[in-house]
Order: sequence, then structure tokens, then C-alpha cells
Amino acid sequence: MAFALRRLVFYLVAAWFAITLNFAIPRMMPGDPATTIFARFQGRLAPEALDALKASFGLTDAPLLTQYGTYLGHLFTGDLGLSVAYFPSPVSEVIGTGLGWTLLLAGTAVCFSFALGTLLGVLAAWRRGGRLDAILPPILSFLGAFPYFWLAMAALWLFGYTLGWFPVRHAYGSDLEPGWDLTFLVDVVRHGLLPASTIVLVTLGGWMLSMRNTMLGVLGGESILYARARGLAPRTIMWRYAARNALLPSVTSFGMALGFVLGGSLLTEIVFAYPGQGYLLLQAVRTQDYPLMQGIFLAITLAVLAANWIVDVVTMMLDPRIR
Amino acid sequence: MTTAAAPLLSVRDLVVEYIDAAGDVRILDALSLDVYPGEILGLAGESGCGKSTLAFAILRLLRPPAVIRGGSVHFAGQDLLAMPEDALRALRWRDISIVFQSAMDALNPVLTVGEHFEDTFRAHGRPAEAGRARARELMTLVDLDPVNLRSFPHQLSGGMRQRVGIALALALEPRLVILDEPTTALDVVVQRAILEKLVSLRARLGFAMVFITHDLPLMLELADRIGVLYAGRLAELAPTAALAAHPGHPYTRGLLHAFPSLHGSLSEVRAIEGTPPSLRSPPTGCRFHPRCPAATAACVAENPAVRALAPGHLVACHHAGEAAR
Repeated sequence: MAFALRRLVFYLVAAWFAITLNFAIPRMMPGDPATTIFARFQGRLAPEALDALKASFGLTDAPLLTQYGTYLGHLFTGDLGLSVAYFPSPVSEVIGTGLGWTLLLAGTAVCFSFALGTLLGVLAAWRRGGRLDAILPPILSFLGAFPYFWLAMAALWLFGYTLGWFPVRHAYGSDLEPGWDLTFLVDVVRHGLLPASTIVLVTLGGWMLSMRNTMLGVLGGESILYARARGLAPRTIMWRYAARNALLPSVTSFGMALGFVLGGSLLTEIVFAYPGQGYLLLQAVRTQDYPLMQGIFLAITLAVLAANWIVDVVTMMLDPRIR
Repeated sequence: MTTAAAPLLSVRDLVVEYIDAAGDVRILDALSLDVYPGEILGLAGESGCGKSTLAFAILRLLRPPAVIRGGSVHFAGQDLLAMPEDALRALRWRDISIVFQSAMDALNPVLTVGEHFEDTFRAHGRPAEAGRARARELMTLVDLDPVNLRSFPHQLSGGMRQRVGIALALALEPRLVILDEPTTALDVVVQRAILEKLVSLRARLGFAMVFITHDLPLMLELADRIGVLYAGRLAELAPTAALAAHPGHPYTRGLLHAFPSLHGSLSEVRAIEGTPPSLRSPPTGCRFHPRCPAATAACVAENPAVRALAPGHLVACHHAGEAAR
């Protein structure tokens, strides 16, 4: 438990550092959103408009320390400012919605891919050279080698457009009102299935191969020979002595993958016009929605840190050597 | 012990090969030996002579590319090589257990010592409650505090881990314990303490031991009989006293001279010239002839058969027993 707390302190310090950078970088960069917008109007705006714009963006000439204090205060109350693109919604609310969809789509896909890939890796290594081991790795490597956006578009064209099995955009039909009723949930699943499948398809091979290879290494070790010599059942050896030990490196990668879910599902969300975090980020960049961008960066940073801490705790539970 | 009793373990003409694209490599070549109930049989030889391979071949624990190509292994009348896998799994550890060279590598690093005992008992259908009591008893038996059952392998010292290995090996009261260089990785003081423990435990519990080591002087102290392997073949097998006093094989003589004696001068220590042959292209005839000071034309031409030099004293040398040694 002391280990988990020590790591927590470490990640809190890292989070503080990230928050501070998030504050400092926009202030160190030349220009500001107000000036940019002002410039876009090529002098058609009165100079007083610049002051109005600055005020609306909360740009002041107050001392940096005061600004920093205000920034931290707003952050802790969840006030990330107002979004420009989705004006007048607060950034926290916009991110909240996007976060939910991203977690649902990419989170589920990454977890499923990890679980299935790891399971396949265990089975392939256990029956090395067997049918599963011979057929799946080449196919999955082949699929994983395609550029993701190409594969996603191909899937969209074939299953969405040509065959019409799946809807081609958004998280739910525009004719439905969001709610916890069955029609809506079924529609959400129907919309999420194709994008989620493309994520699973391209990442499955990586999980399977890394698990297979680590597991083969463990299977070749003395502890497996020792377990067999003691007459343990093959099932016990496979799960308790081989798979469990081989899982450790995969859990680390899984944590990283989870952390990058927020930022990394950008391509999926763009191709499938899915209203998640990545799609929001794209919108924010297009519309120069600085508060939203800053908020999303912060959310991604915090998610990566949180995922890392969870991985640390899980690894600690799995491996007594690092306690 | 009398050699008239039926052997507990009987290995006959055992052949083990390493499958290799460039031609299979023979690691054990028609090896035969017996282990009698309650005895300590020492197995000596240089690295790579097949000692450990023999230990794992007996329980069919060899891993590819090593495969058993012929011969037979009988334990208490049962043919281990013909036994179905399930029956063999039940026999492993219940009748024959192994103490590994490195308990650090053998124990599962993410399981506690206690869990290793639990897994062992569960695999052989022993009730968990009785198993826990037995585990504490076994720990005490090897002079370890039962508190260590809650420890993970990395939390114990090398000597403690080897003791855990011994306690585990005795868990199901096997009739034969194979020790594969159990103390090689330990310092001499710890080594001595552990060996004394083993000998006293054997006296109490009556199991037979196959003791594998390259430390021949140690073997002379411990073993009832000693087998010497050379390049996958049996060179000599004799009661310890006979082997020490009248070694029949030049290789055995070489091994006996290769260690400094406590009483003689250091100049008496002689290494055996040369290195063990490659098993990929072994020498013709007697495999020891390129290194043998007494080799003759017959040694180059013909593989010497194992023959009895005296009752119970087997040797595979054309010239054993001749006056000039």
C-alpha cells in the first residue's frame, strides 16, 4: 500500500507539472487568440473590439503569479472557460460529452482487443506450432500493417456504404433522443460496432504476438519444468505458472494504450465522424477554440497519468518483486 | 544395502537425442543403471556429459528438441516410458521428486513458498487443510521457520531457497529424490549444512537419492555407489570404496586426480588433458581415447562394452583390470 501511495504522490507532482506547463506554454507563445481573430478581420474591426475580445478570452495584463493563482482556482472548481466552437457551453461540459463517447468507443475496443489478443497469445504459445499459432499471427500482422485510416475507410466503404450493414457516421441516429431506453442503446451499439471493430482489428495482432512471445519465454524457463516435475495439472501450469508471469509486460503496454485512448482515437473519430474527444480536438483546432484545446490537452495528460498509476498498482499486485 | 534387492529404478539402454537439422545429436547413448531402495547413487562427470539429461529423461520431462529415442525406464516395476501421461503426472513427485540446481529459477517468482506447497498438494489430491499443516512440518524439517511460507522466493537467501526446494521435494514422501547439483550455487559452509541435513533426512525417511554433481570428492563422502558418465555413456559404476581404491577407467582416475586432496601436496593435482568431445561428431570407438594416456588401437576401433570388473563394479574400458595402468 505504501508503494501505491508513493506512486500516487509521484503522479500528483507530475500532474501539477503538466498543469503548470499547460498554463505557461500559451503565455510563452507569440500571439493570442484575440489577436488572431482580430487579424482575421483584416482591419475591419475597430481597435476597441480587440480589447473586448481579450476580455472575453480572459486575457489580462495581471502579474503571471496572479494569473496562475486564478488558473489553479478555476481548474479545481472545474471551470475551464467557455468553448468558442460550442459557445456558450463551458469547456468542461463539452469535454465531458466527448470523453463519454471516446471512453465508450475506444475504451471498450482497447479493453476487448487486449483481453482477446492476450487470450489468443496464451493459447498460441501453449500449443506452439498448432493451428491457431500457424494461422492467426500472419493474418493479424497483415491487417495491422495497413495504415489505420485506410483500413477504417475501406471498412466504412464496404460495410457501411456498399453493404449498408452499419450506419456511416455519428454515435447515434439523429432521429433519436438520448436516453437509457433500449432503442437508443441498440442504436449506440450499432453505430459503435464498426469503428470499434476497426480498432480491434488493427491492434489485436500486437497484443497476441507480444503475449505469445513473452509466454514462450516463460514456458522455456525452469519454473515451468519444476511445475511439470511436481505433477501439476497442465491447466494450472498454463494459467498460474505461465500466463500470469507472462502477463506483466502486456499489462504495462495496456496501461499506456488506455492512457492514449483519449488522444489516440483521433483517426477513428474523424473517419467515422464520431463525436468523441479526438473529433472535438479537430473541431477545436479548425475553429481556433483555444479554451477547448487547452482543456482537451489537460484531459489527455491527466488520463495518461491516471492510467499509468493504475498500471503501477496492478503490476504491484501481480508482481511481488516490485513491492 | 544389498544389491540382491530388486532395483527401485532401472534404466536400460536409454538413448536420448537432440533433434537438429544438421543431423540428430546423441546425448545419452545406451545408458543403463539401477538405483536400489534407500541408497545414494552419485552421478559424476564433466559438464555436458548427460547427467541432468538423464534425470529429466527418467520422468519424461525432456523438452524439444531433446527426445527419448530408445531404451526403457522402470520404476518399481512400472514402465515409465510406456505410461499414459495422466498416470505419469500422478507418479511425478509422489514417487520421484527432483531438487533443482537453482531454486531461484525453479520457484515461481510471483507465488509465495506456501502457494508452491499448496499447488503441489492440490495436484495430488491432498486436502488443503492437512497440506498447510504438512507444509509447516516440512519447513521445520529443513530448519526453516514456517513463517517463511508467506515469503516470496526473492525474499529468501540462496541457502534458504535450496532448503525450500528440499522441503518441497519431500512433501509427498517420495521413494526417490533426484538432486541435480543441489548445492553447486551455494558457498561451502551453507553447502555442508544442507548436505548434512539431506543425509540425516534420508536416514530418517529412507528415500533413495540420485545425487548429480561434478564435485567427485563430495560424492566420495556421501554416496553409496558412484556412476561416472563420459560423453553420454557410462564409463564406470561401482561402490564408492571400490571406485576410490581401484578405479577401473582412466577417466575416473583422471577425475580423482583433478581435485586437490586435503592431505597430499598440491602438485598431485592434475587436470585431464583436452576437453570433452563434441557430441555432434563423437570420436570412434571409446569416446575417451583422444584424451586417454593408455589408449591403444583397439580403443580407436571399438566401443568398449560395459563389463563387470568385480561383483557390482562395472566399467567400460578395454584395458580395465590389466596390470599396467
